[in-house]
Parts: sequence; C-alpha cells; structure tokens
Amino acid sequence: MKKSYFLVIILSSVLSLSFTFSSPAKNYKGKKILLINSYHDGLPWSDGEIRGMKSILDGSGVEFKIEHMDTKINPSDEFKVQAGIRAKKVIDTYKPDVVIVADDNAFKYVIMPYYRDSDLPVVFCGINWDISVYGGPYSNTTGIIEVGLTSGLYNHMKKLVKGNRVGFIGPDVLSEHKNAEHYEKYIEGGYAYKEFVKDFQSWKKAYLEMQDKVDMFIVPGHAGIKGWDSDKATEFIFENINKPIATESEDLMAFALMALSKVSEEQGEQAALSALRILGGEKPIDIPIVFNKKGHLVLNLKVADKLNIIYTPAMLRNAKAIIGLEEQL
Amino acid sequence: MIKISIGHKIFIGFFVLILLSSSFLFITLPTLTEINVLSSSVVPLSKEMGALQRYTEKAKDLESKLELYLTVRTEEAKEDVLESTKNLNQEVALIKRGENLPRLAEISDISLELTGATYSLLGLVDKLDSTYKINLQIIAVNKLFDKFQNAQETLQRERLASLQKNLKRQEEIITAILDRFFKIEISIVVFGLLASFFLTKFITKNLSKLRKATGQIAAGNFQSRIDISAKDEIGQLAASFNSMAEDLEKTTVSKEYVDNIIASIVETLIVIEPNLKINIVNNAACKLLGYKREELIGEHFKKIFSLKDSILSQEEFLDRLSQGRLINFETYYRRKNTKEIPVLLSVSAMINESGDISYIICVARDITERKIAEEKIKEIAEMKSKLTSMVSHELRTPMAAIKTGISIVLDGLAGQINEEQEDILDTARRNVDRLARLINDVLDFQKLEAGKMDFRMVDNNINEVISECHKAMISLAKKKDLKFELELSEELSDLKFDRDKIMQVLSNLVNNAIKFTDKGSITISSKQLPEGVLVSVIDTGHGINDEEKERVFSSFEQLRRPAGGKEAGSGLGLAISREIIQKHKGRIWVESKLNHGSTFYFILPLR
Repeated sequence: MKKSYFLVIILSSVLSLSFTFSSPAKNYKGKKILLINSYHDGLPWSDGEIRGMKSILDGSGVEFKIEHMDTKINPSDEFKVQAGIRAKKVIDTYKPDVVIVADDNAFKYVIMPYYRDSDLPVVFCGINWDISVYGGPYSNTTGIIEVGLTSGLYNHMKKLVKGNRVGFIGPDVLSEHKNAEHYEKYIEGGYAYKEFVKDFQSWKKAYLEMQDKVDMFIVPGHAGIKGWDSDKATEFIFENINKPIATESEDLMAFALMALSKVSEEQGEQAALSALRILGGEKPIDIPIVFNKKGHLVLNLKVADKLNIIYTPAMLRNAKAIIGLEEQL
Repeated sequence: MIKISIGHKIFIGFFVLILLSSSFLFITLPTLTEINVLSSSVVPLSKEMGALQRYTEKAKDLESKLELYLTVRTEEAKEDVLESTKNLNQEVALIKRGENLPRLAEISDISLELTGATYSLLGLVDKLDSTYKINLQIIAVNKLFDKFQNAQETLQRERLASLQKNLKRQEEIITAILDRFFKIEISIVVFGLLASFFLTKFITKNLSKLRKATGQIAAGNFQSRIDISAKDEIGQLAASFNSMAEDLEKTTVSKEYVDNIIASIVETLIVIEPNLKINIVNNAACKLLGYKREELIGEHFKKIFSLKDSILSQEEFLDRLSQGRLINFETYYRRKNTKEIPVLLSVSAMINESGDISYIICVARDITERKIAEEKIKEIAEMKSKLTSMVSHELRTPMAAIKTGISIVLDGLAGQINEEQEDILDTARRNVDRLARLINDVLDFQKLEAGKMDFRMVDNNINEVISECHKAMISLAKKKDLKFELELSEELSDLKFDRDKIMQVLSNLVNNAIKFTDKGSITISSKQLPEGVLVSVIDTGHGINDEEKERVFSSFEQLRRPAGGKEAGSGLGLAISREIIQKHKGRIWVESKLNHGSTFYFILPLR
C-alpha cells in the first residue's frame, strides 16, 4: 500500500508542474470617493484637476462624485461658510470612503471645521504652499501641496541668457513672499535684487530700475498687484525691454520670454493615487504629502527676436505653446 | 516456458523507454522544420532592425549635438554637429548603395531632409540672421526629427509586430512540442515507474524469500526450501540454494538435533563466553544447580562457582577458565540454595577461525558420591593402619618372650634336650624370626604409607653401601653356590640419601635375587646417568613373567615361589623398596624374561 501511495504522490507532483496560477486584478468596486471642489464647473484649473483624477480613477471600479462650492464666483466669507455646510451635508448623506478636497477653500471651510482628525480619510489637492496655516496635517489627511516652479524656470533661463544676476519682482502677498524665500536657495548667489510691489506703477518702476543691474527677471505673476493692465504691461515691456522675463503665469506671456505654469492635471492625478492607496488599506497619515513638479512651458518668439535670443531645440520641442509662431506660418 | 533473465527484462524495459523517446522525435520533426523556416525569416527582419537602430542612433546623436551647439554656440560644438550630420548622410549612402532594405527608403529620405535642414540652420546661425528665422528653422528641424522619429517608430512597430507574430508562432509550436514532450515524458515516467515498481517487487519478493530461507538455514532449520518458479537468475539461485540445503541437511546436524543432544547429556553442560557470561545451560545443569535456565543465561560464571578447598585463587581460576586452560579440575558448584556440590570440571575452548576463543565449554560431573566413598576409604585405611600398628606392637612383646624362651631351651640353660627336640625348637625359632621380620616389614610399610617414616638425607657414597650389602649377603649366596659380584663405577656423583633405607632396599633386592636364583650369579652394579646414579641388581634366576611384572611392587604380593623354595616372604619387601625410592624422588623398576633372569634397577636422583 505504501508503495502505491508513493507512486500517486510522484505522479501528482509531476502533473502539478503543468499548472500555473494567476491572482485577480485589484478592484475597488463599491468604494466611493467624493470630490469637494472649491470652485465651479468650467474653471480651467479645476477642470484640469478633475481630468487628472478621472484619468486615474476610470476603470478602478470606484464611484466618483463631485460637489462644487463655487467660491470663485462668490468670494464672500459668508458664502464660503454656507458652501462648507452644504458640502458637509453632502458628505454625511453620500458617506464616501474617501473625500478629496481641491484647493484651499474646500479644506478651510469643510475639513478644518468638521472633519479635523476624524475617521473620514481626506486627500487635499493643491493647498497653496503650507498646510500648517490650517493646523494640518491632520491624522486623517494627506495630499499634494501646490508650490511655484521658479527653480525650473531659472534652469531654462540659464541656457538662454548670458550672466547670472537674477531680479525678482512679485506681488506683495504672503504666498509670493514664501515663493521667493523658498526658491531663492536654488538661484546661484540668490536674487541680485528682489522687489515686492503692491501696484502696477511700482511694478513698472521696479522693472526699469532693476533691468540694468540684472541679466534676467523672475516675475511669478500679477495676482495681488493693484491696477494691473495686461495690455499696458505688454506695451510697456516691448518699449523698454532689454532683459528677458520668466514667469509662472501664462497671463504674462504676451511680454515674457518663457512661462512655466503649474499643471492642474498633475495635482488631480496625485490626489486620486493617494485616495486609491487609502482604499487599498493604507492610513492617510502613512502616505507622504507630495509637491507638484510638472510645468507647462510657453515660449514667445517675438520677445526672443526682440532680445536676439535663440531657443534650444529641446525647449521649442517641449513647449506646450509658442507665441508668435502662427503669424509666420 | 520461455526463460527470460533479469538482464533481458531490464533490457526490454530500456528498449521500450528508448522507443517512447524516439516517438517524440518522429512526432515533433515536422513542427521543428516549421520552426526552422520561421527562424530563417527572422534574419532579414533583424537585419532591417539593425539598420534602423543605426539610423536612430545617428539621428539622436545629431539631435543632441545640435542642442549642445545651440546652447553654447562654440566652433567645437558646431564641428561636432557637422560631423554628426556627415555620419547620418554616410549611413543613408550605405543603405541606398548596399543593402536591399526598401522599407528604409522613407527613413533615408527624411534623413536627407534633416541633414539639409540642419545645414540651413547652421548657415542662418553663421550669418547671424534674425533670431526669429533661426527659431523657426529650429522648429522646422524639430519637425523633421519628429517626422524621422515617427517614421522610425512606425517601421519599428511594424517590424516588431512581424517579429512578435513570428515569435508567437514559434512559441505556439514550441508549446505544442513541450505539450507533446510532457505527455510522452509522463508516459515514460509512468511506464518507467510501473516497470521499476514491478521489477523491483518481483526481484525483492524472491530475494525476500531467499533471505528468509537463508535465515532459517542459519538458525539450523535445514529442512527450509525456497519456492521460486522463476526461470531467471534468481530462480537458478533458488534452485542452487535448495540443492545446497539438501546437501547440508544430509551432511550437517541441525540445531534441533544439537539441542536434543545437549538436552540429553546427563552431565552438566555450561557454555560461557570469553567474558565468563553464561551462554548455554543444559537441563542437567539446571537440575543440579536448582536454577531455571533464564536465571542463568547472561549471568557471570561466578554465580554458580565455588573454590572451596582449591589450590587456585578465584582470580587464577577465572583467568585460566577464560583462556580455556583448565582441563580437569575438581571444584564446587554452588546451588541456588547456596549448598556447594563437588564436581569434576572439564573445560575446553571453542576456537574460531581467527584463533580466538569464541566459547568455553564446561562439562562437570557431580562427584558427591565419589567424595563420600573416598572419605569412607580413608577412614577404613586409617582404621586398618591403627589396627595393624596395634596388632604388630602387641605381637612383638610376646614374640620376644617366645624367642627368649626358645633360645634358653636351645642353649641348654633349661636342661639337656635331645636332637629331635633341638630340631623342633630350631624350626620354632626360625619361624619366630620370620614372624618378627614380617611384623617389622608390616610396621615399616605402615609408617611409609602414613608418611611417618623419618629419612636422614645426608651425603653418602652409594658404592660403600653396595659394598657393605655385598659383605653382608655374600655368605647367603655362597650357601647356594652362587657367584656374587660387584661392577661399580668409580666416577659417581655425590648423593644425599638415607643410608639405612637404601641399604634396606639393596638387601631386599639381593635377598630376592638369591632366593629366586638356583645357579649362576648375582651382580650389583652402579653407573652414572645424567639424571642420577643407576643401581642394578642382576640375577640369572628363572625370571618373572609379564603378568607378575605388573604387580611385583604391590604390597602383599608374593612372587611365584621357585620350585623347592624354602622361605616365603612377607610380600612387602618390594613395596617398601618402591616407597623408599619414591621418597628419595627416584624410580625403581624391573626388567625380566622368564627363565633368563631378572634385573632390578633403581635410580637415585642428583641432589
């Protein structure tokens, strides 16, 4: 009998070699993610974030719902508070497994007052610079912090401009102060000149005073500068320019040599990936908070021609948009 | 029935396995041919892919050199761009001239466009034309790079798809081959396992029978036979074994037979190992010792052994026993109830092939009855000795009185007696003298036997004693007209002996010689031998027959009286002589032939 068993065992072992096993793919069917968007449907930035989220969540089996707070259209504090209460009701009713909050208002008016250190997992998307202003991060939160792309801009400009003196002209607002402070360490020797202005006149004055002392300008944007007029700014620059401007705002591309703007899709993708990790069993506090890295490059052939600057082939190839090209083509 | 040997069976098994393996080759041959065709078609594909790879590398090299030049704008960087452009052009020329790769024509055309655009760009930069134009030319060059990349990727994709299709087909074929191989392999494995299983079972089954039978033979069961009907080597082996067992049965006693013999031995038999542990005990031993067999097996021999009254110590005894050096030895066995039984132990060693002792056989006989008889004999002898001694002593006193009385009458002190009375009294006195000698002999013999006779062993000259004896006895010889001569060696060793006792021996021998010799001579000789001095008393009497020679030295034995012999002896003379010589550690014997005289010898050993 023992010999017979031995024979069967050997044959079974040989036959088992022909079998292979495969594990099923991960599926989040039945899980729910709710996005609380600070702004409204149709806003390009918000739409980009949502596109990024959907590119990750599509096919995962997750049920994805969006609630807009419309705080761009209705900027009053009272509206924001009411919008926060509405969003809370949606959360309580919908009972999502994870909540994603896009941009600061959703975090400030929904999570901070109602879900701080709660059992509800929260992923924030695009909080400007510093979550600590809202007392975060909380035990139930993780997400992506939105920062400027000054270091990337500086690296591109170094390839096009002779000299290493960098001037900074930015709006006199807290985020830009943080931006300047954060990125100054990436500038070789730091900013040669740094000016925070409150209005358009001061901005123009600063440019004129600084342009003979520097080799390039970093101008992050115009939000917060009173009396800003884009057309007048373009006219002013084309009349007076002899040093190139690099900016993080595509709004300034009418007179800037290049812009490196943030990519909202990147932030949406990162938020969705963190949400899936939470659904996979990880705790929010164990998932590291990340920063945005990608940027859209925009070039201006007119400004380059004015300043006699030749872009590198790689820049021209990678540029998302080239201003002035259509006129020749 | 056909004889198939084990070798043939194994050969057939392997042959079937080889056939199965070969069938795999026959089945897979057509598919292998298809694989060969598919593999051949991969060669031009890979050649095209190789050319494409070279194009791509050179285009990328140009792109990177151009990027560097437009960043640093040095002459050296420009030279690198020109070199790279030249390399790409050379590759185009190489492809167009030599290799028949039509799908690369499009790539070649784009490459030529690209190099042309690059030259234009370099020209614009050299002329310091408007940067707007230069940037536009860079964009144009970029677009050509993109076009090149698209074309290259498209072609690569197509070729990869073709290659993948080819490889997929090969994979399908190989999978099919493996599938067949697996099935055939399974068949081979199953067949091999089954064949091994049954062959092994067949061989081990018969070998098991052989093992069992050999075990039975080893255990002494010579009736054991093997029932194997196979005609192969094992069958032949079994037949040989059975034949051998039959021979063994005829020629060898079985263990049962030996056991029966051991059981039926009336003497006690104990077999011990060299370490003196008891190995076998027969029924007689168990009965004598009062133990059950299992109470003795494995026990030390000391358990049943006693050395009461032995001249050997226990260590000596056991040492000799373990070496099988004891032959016959009186000792005691100790019963379970501690009673000691006298036994005559006979030991022999069983020696194995390497000359070592494997077992020691101890056969012992219960000598209790003999010991009792000996004790009784001893007691009777003592009683006889006491009685004889007492009677002899008691006779001496009246004998002396009788002799004195007869002498007084014969000497006429008691008055005159006539001749007839004198003859009567003379006869009476001679008989009294004879009776006195007889009593003296008896007393001497008793003393000798009882070891109460004292010997004075001092330096003496045997020739002097012989001469003295000659002097004393010569008158007696002359009465019978016998010559009485001496032949004495002058060169004799000094000896220690009791002069009186040796004189007594010589007197006995000479007296007997005269008594049993009617004519001729008596001669006493002495001679030096290596072990001592030989003394001979030679007569020319009528000799002693062989029967009498056997008992001539026994006590109370009288030789056949010669015809006309007047005096009978006590029958103790020669017995006393033998005792005396033996007390001197010497030897006495007789050589004689009927009617041709006798010679009595004794040797006195050197000191």
